[in-house]
Amino acid sequence: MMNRRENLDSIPTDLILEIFSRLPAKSVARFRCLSKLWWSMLSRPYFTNWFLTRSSARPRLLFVVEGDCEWLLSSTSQPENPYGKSSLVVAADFHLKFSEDRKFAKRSDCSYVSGLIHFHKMWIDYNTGALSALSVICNPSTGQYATLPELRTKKDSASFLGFDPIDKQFKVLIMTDTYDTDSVHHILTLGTDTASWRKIQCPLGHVTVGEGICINGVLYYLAENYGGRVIVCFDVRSEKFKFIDTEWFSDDLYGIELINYKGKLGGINLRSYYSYLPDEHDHYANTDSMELLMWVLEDVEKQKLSKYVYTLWEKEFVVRYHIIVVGVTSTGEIVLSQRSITCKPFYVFYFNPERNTLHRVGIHGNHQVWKNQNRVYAIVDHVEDLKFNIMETFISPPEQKHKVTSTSTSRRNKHQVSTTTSTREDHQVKTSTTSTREDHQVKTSTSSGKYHQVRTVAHPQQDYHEWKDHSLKLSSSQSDTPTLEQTMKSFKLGNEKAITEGIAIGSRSKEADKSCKVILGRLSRGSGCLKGTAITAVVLAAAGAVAAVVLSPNPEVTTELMNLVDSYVNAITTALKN
Amino acid sequence: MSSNMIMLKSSDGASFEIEEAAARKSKIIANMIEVECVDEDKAIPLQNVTGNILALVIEYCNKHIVDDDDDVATEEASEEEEEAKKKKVDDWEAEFMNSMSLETMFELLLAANYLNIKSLIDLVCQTIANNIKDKTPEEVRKIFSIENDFTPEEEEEIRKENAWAFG
Repeated sequence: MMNRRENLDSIPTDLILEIFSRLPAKSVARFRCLSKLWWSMLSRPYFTNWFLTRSSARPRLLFVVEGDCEWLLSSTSQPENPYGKSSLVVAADFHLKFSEDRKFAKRSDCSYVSGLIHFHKMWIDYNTGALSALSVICNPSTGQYATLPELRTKKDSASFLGFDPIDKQFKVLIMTDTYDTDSVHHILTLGTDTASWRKIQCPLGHVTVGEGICINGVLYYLAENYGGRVIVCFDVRSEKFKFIDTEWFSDDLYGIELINYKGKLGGINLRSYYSYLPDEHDHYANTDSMELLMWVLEDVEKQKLSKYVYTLWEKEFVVRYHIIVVGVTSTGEIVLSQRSITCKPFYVFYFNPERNTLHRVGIHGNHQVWKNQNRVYAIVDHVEDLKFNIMETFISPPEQKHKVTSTSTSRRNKHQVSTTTSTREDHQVKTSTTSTREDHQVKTSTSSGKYHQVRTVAHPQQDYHEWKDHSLKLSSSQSDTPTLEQTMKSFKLGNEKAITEGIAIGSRSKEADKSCKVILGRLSRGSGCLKGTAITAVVLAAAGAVAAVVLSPNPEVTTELMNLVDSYVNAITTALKN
Repeated sequence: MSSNMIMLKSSDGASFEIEEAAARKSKIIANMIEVECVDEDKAIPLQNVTGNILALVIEYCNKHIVDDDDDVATEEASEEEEEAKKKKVDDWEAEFMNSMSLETMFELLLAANYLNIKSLIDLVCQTIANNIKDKTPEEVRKIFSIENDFTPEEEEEIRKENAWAFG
């Protein structure tokens, strides 16, 4: 019988990473401090991409709770099978708050796509009496956030976050409400060295209505122009606006939330009404029910719209008021919730239109922000991503921001990873988390909604203008695999000479120099052995900078690691040259 | 459906008889069967797997071969039946893993890896992940025999970076 030591030493690294890739993001963050080797392994794209793949397979429900001057971000798993489980635990709690002297003073809109949240106009009070409205990008899985350059416009209104799955780029769009033609709006690409707002034109003036939804690289939102209500499609990649002619179904554009129904654009209208129905004794009585009207845009060219109507009895909801549509999961479950916290627990409802079942989940949040009247933004299909690759757009931390008020500071930090690293602390979010995990128990119960009618309506052919074969199909937008390794910031480097693929070299040049020689020595010895089967070459650089190469007998992993070794050698060479 | 029996021999000399269909859950054994290097009279020696672990592997394979057969046989099974069946398997797996020590799980993981049984690797990895997700770094270091080579200052720095995760 092997003892534990031998046993665990013999577990290939890829198996351990296999285990770690199944942890919640919060646990991974905690285990970064296990050792230098593990810090490095859990920070590398090899692992973070692996983690993203796993995390995409188990999407979560994200709660953004708005407190007086603070935001609480929590997430819980989405029940895969709403009948099997009887209880769920809210796993991660993250409290977004600047340091004590600053506050999120006023509410702002938030939009979500592929693992990132954007808060438009987050008002921040520096205790100077003056409020600054900042655009904040936040990764709820890692607790990192960044403020975007200030944009001063006269009439900016809505803001949307879009994701282009081809180039894997996030873009923030800020709209200017106007009925004029050739209206000018602003856009910023995250993670690029330009890090500034660019102007883009839209041929048709429009005023945005409600929230947008990004499906497969296209951002959809409702707007009004002189012709009435329209659906605007913004292609995130090409940055072109298009309008869907909605004359043939414009009645369905009021009071709706846009949804992603299995890759197609749809809209849901939820309305309560009184109906007169006989009870079991044939007595007629007032019965509160809710009607859920859903349309799904099947084919724009053919003007084919599927329409569904479901009736849900309000008594199934326990709470009668303020039920809103949260969204639709990738498996087609319609998620409803309360708009704000009115009772404990806070309820989320999963309605499966195909099976006609309604599943109720009570969320118990013990954090101080989980209290009555606070607004809750629930977001479906949240994918945890360990990467936060918008570092190059980090402009300035709030402290510096209010010292230098001019917007010309916005490009100060561009190209400089080192600056990002050194100002890191200023961006660090102060957190306070709840003390007891047990208090986040989620209890579930099931009940059944009543199914009324489903119908599909195909509309007669009509001509479209400005619309060509626009694909509404999508795979639910996955998160990115960006370029810059965010975790590099985890080490405060005196001089940043090389930051590549999870390697940080040197802090003080003498030490760096010395350690690099050691690394090179080990690497050259290691390379000689690579043809063998299992060797482990651990490369350590001075002052917390770490690069680790673990070669496993698994050939796939070895190839991956060989690439890493190459990149390490390059990085070290660069460092030595400097 | 073949009901050929195959003999497996653990590193400590214990012999196990297993249905071929169940043994095929292991890609390695399936390959051996494909290339006909399995002698009906001779046991396949598994030098990296001890008897007690091999017994667990066989228990798992036997359980899952039945389920796989059912999938083929009852293609027209109603959704409820499918769900009930899935729940039954989930419950069995939960029970199967529940009685195991972390140590045994690691040994089972190594065996599943060696025998290349993907679904068992998935199951054990997920169970271990669930097991350690709420643990402190100190506890995890102990479990994986990881030596902390950070200086206290460095560790403090990283903990500060990820302070939210320590709540």
